[in-house]
Amino acid sequence: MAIDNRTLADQIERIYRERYPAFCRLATAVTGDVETAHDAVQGGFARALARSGDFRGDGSLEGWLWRIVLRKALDLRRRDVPAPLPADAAEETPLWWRPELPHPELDPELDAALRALPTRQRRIVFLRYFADMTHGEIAEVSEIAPGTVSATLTQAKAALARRLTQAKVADKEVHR
Amino acid sequence: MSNSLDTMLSERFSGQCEAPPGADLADVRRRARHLVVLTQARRLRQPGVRRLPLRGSLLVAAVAVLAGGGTAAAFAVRALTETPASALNGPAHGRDATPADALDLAQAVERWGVELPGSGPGEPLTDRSATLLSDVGSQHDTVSAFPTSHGAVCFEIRAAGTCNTLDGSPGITWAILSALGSTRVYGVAADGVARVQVNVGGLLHEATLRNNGYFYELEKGMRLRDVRGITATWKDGSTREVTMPPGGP
Repeated sequence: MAIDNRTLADQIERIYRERYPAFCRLATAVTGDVETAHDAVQGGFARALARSGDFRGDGSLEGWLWRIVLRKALDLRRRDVPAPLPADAAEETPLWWRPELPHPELDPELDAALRALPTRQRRIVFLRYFADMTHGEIAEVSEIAPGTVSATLTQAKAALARRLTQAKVADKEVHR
Repeated sequence: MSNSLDTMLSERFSGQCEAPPGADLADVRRRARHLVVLTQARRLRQPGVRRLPLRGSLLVAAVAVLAGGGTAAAFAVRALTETPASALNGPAHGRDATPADALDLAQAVERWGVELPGSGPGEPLTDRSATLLSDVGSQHDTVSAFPTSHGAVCFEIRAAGTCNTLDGSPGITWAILSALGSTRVYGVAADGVARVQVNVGGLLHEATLRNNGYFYELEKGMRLRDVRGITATWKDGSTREVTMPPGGP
């Protein structure tokens, strides 16, 4: 599909203006701090503008941008922290990443519940609730089917509900 | 249950979110320009991308791209074919003098468009190529140029050259070629430019300016790193400068 470069650049800039906070949240989930995340978003959008001809038009422009920013965030994180791959990394796409809460000390229950999830479930939970992405956006950025996103999210939420409820009950028993 | 779980998770995650630094679209555009220039330089550095009669000129061409790329991002976003250099807006003329070198650069530009679509200066319009200056300097050089479909101009001496836009400040493109024992500063000037001077070691030297092309050969003993800048004086008397990075281009 032929796309005029000027139109494409305008669309990329419009998405940046409208969705900058959401892209920052996604990048923060990867990098762990907002400054590096901001750098990833800036660098990702710059790359998209400079290489807009790479966009083939066979998916949404926003999905393409999500993937570019995610890759940039991963690059920045790898540069700082060469983390070893976990055992379940093989199931992941090239955009593999294992998100961490930026401030686990603020919500240790949630942190523990998230850590108990398989990496794929944890990543999709982050994309949904931390980055505030829709199921369709998650499917695009993760390069998986929307149905898989829904199913994975349902499983993850059930597991989180169990753990967070258990934590709440345990907390009440301690304080009784 | 599901809705309340959604709400609860959203609230707990939002407690993790710090306010990010403010959006800065100007910074994104600056970075994009830088990436375009680096990409351009990388393409020119790769062996085989261009068939150069003077191998030594390749690096110089890449340096020139880096230094002259302030407006290079416009390659990706403009769709003009007229340039502010009238010598390049008519039918081709003077091609007999340098067809091989100009076409060699045109082939490199075409390949650039194919391999990195959207990032290059556009399609070369060789039917509007022009010999801007001929038999200049001690090596009897010829400066030739052609416009592109995105309104950029590509120019060369001995196939060492680059592409850039002329609109906006300072109204000149530039490149520096060191080969055959001489260093030449050359480029294309917009119609509104009346005079081009090259700052070498702190002194301004008059460049030959004719037919939208300009050329200056450094005196013996002066080197590439002695070039500190280029000053374009416009017909309205205003001057605009291209400043070389500290340490030379």
